[in-house]
Amino acid sequence: MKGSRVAKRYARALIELAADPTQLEAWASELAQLAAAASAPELVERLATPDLSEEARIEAMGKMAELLGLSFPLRSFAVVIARHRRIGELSAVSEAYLAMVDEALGRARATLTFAREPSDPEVEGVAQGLGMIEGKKIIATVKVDETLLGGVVAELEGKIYDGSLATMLLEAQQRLSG
Amino acid sequence: MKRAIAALFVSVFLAATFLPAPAIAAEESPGGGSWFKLLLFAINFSIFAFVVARFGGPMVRKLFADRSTEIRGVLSRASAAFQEAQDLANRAAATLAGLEAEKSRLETELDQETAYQVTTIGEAARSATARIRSDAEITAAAIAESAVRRVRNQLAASAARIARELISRDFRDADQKRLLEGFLDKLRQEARP
Repeated sequence: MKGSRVAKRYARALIELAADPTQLEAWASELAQLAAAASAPELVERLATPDLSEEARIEAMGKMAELLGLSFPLRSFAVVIARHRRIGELSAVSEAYLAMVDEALGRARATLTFAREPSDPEVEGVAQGLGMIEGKKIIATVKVDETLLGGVVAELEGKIYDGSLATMLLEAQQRLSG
Repeated sequence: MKRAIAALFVSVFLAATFLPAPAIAAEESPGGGSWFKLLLFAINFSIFAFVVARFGGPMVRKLFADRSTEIRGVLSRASAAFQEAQDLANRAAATLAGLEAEKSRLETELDQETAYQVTTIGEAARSATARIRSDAEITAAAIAESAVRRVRNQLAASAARIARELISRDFRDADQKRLLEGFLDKLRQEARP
């Protein structure tokens, strides 16, 4: 879904609407809010009801955007999405938009899985190390997995950098097994 | 043949006509016989002979002719049967001779085939023995290798398990810090052009 052409088209259109880079960041957050609200099961069910007219669906999306306190461009975007019957693709649009914004701002997102709760300097250090490889600013999502025993595993744009003790032990075991 | 039969018939007739004459003469008184009686007897007998020849002759001739024909047919059939038997005997002799030759040939072929089969079976047995020995050696080597691998795997798994337990028990912040530094070193090395 993330890579769907339709979602990318809508995401690109929204980016082109932005007058300056600061808006890009703000709209990403608003779009994520909108996508989360539109993908709530009860709302999806209501919006998918055949009894609901086209106008009512558009109006509902507009009201929802207003209640969420979105900016005018995002409210208009919500109405456009509803009019084009693409409400179901809002999550994909949001993801595509975020990826494009990251690309435009020279950022990359990484998931860092530590064996134990890391300190901020540890997270920052690993993010910087990854940033040196990609040449981008790294936005890290931190997770904790005790089965790693020690160290960290980083996933950056589909590539895994494994510095965990569990993997080291597994490699040692394989070497011993021959 | 017919003439001989006719002469025989006439002789028999004359004998039958005149042979009773001495007997009749002997029965008469010594004064002499009666030519009249003899003549009468001859006439009677001639009439009898004529009647027999007139009415019985054709039947007798037919009887003899039929019998002759039958005997000739029997003779002809016997001759044909004999000839056929002779041919059969000849063919049987030829067949027997052929069978003897065939028997001799079969015996020779059987001997050759037996010798060939004995050689083939011997070679097959030697080949099978070699193959079984080779298979057994390979299997034994594979079993030994598998056992060694299994033991090594078990040892490695045990070592890894012990290491995990020790790490889980004694892992400290300093260890985590050291690991992260090592990880960052690796990242830096990768980042170098």
